[in-house]
Amino acid sequence: MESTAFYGKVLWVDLTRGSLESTEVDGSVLRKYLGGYGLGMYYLLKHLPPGCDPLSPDNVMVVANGLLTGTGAPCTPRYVICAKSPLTHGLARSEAGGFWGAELKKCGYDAIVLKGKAKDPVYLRITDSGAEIRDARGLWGLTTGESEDRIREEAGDDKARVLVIGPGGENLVRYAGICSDLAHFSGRNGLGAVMGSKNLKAIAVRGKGQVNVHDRARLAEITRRNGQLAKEHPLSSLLHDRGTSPGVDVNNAAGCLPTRNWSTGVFEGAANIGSDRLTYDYLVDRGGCHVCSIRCKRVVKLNDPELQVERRYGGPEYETLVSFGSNCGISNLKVILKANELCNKYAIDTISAGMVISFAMQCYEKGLITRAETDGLDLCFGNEEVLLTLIDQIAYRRGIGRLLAEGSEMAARDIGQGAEQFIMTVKGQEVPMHDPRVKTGLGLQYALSPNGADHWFAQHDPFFVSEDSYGTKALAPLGIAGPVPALDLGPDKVRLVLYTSFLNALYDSLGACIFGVVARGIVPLDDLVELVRAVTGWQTSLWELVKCGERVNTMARLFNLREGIGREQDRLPGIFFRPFAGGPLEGKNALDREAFDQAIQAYYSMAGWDAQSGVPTDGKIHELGLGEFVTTMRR
Amino acid sequence: MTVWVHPALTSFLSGDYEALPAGEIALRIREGASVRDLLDLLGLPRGLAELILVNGEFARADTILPASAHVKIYPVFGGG
Repeated sequence: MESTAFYGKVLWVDLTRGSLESTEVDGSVLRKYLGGYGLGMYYLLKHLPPGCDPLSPDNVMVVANGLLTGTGAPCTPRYVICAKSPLTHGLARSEAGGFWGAELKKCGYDAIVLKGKAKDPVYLRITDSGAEIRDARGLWGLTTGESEDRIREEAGDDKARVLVIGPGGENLVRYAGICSDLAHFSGRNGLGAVMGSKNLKAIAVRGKGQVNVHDRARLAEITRRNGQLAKEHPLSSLLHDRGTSPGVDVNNAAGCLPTRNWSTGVFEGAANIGSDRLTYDYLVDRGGCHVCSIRCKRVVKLNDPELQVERRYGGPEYETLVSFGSNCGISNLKVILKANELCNKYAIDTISAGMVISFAMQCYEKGLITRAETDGLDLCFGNEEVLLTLIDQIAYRRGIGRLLAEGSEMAARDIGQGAEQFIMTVKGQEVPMHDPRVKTGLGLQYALSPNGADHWFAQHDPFFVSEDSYGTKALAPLGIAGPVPALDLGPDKVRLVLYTSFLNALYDSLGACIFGVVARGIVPLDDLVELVRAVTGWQTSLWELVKCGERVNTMARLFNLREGIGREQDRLPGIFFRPFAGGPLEGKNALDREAFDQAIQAYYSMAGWDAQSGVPTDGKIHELGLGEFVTTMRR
Repeated sequence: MTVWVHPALTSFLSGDYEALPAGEIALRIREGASVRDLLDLLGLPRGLAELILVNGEFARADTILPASAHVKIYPVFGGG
């Protein structure tokens, strides 16, 4: 089966042997798994040895472009990185946008599969003329920005796109990330530590090839239409203008802003870290991605006598404003901007870092960590100086940073004395800054996501609460019939989460950005299908594509099951089954544990998984064409 | 009736209203009007504002506005 959107080429890198090999991918594999997340899961299930140590040479890391990435289709800049996670010991996967994926495509590759471990630090350089493994001993220890500068200098090409880890990954921080162009992050699940464990510092790409497209005129027509829509649509306009920062104001007003390690949902300093202050006091530009005119990313600059922040490291999203802000009791936006920049220089995840630090602060205030154990640091909530010091200590595994670099779940086990009550993790990963007590579907997402607490496993409840909601209207073709209340936990909510979990997995396989396509973005489902047709020449349909999303989710389930992660790990932290303390929701909104468990079982049933065990049934496995992976799972 | 609209939404406002200090606006609306009627009157695109507080209480689109209400309007938010 021929398709023009792919090169049908995968680069295999064995770092132990120092070998590189390029192979062709069968067209039927590409149609079944598309690219990105789907292709990544295919290679992990086939090549990653079950039960391997995630920081050992046996771990396999896949970097895969979405099917539409680099083709010129609108809002589809993304690539996926996946492996076994050193944080969750299950599936690691994280997507990022920017320009790196499109550049890899121009080099003629759809994906890279890496295994083994180099004897000394190396980096990969890929151009149209091929790939080579290069010495990175001189780069080891450098920040992401310093590394990018050196690699570009060495290549004599300031337009090379560099995917790189920082000291966080080198020092095996379990929530280290990977960045490209210094501002686009595969932040979650500790993929930076996997790369660091392989002694792989970076992958630099620079291509000049043109990606073939089946019907370029049709592609241009759809791209033009959506470019115009991006200028007019209220959601894209809001994203361009404010990014995700209004979330601070909205959630504080609603009484659900994570504050002081989630001990309450209102923060007295919210106005200081919210949308107006970020936009009017520190924003110097807006950044964007390949073929996307929304340009939703923040670019900040700070030139204070005491604190400087370079604009090349971008700016904070909602998650970071809250994880280091209200969640740590900090209302000084300058300090949050600096914390964000440090995490980007060291390439560590801002969500997990903020959550680990807020956990340590609460342990300190409760007397579970003493001043002697922090080398004299005062870990009280709101201590601005200590926040920046702790980020340094985590990245370089110094002082108490050695403990905190392990993630909050492992740190709590080490601290003991009941410290577990202060962690908020699912499958070992710290929860993002959204409270399931005001949107139950988000709670189901946290529990069911294969890669630990993830706020983009499915779509968010507020987009489906009324007839007027954008999601209710835009996802009607998916079979979502009418609005679903935010606090509902019945079959309608489960179906909403199920269908949109298929959709989000499809987006991650196509390379589509969640902020670019419906319901959070603008590109309608009909156009998305048309884009796949125009780019590939396939006579495809929404049905076939959504089934691809469903297939990927079941593959991720199979992956976790063979790693021993299943029903028991699909649970939420206890705090969400207790009412809010303080604010407008004081004493209200505790999730009902029985109703929540029933909703999890309903999800299994609807997904074609056994309602009790959560194991995909034989019927579902074969319906999705995944029979070849059954033996791997059950041996 | 006085209304405070989150600054991220003010560029979408149209219609007939009086600007007050502190970013608030004043307007007249018929008795028995709902939150949705108010949003339409302000010209806010449907679906863009999902968190509405009426006299400090959470309200829905079909909530009937009391005679003297102070309304706060925030943009829809999900993901970040």
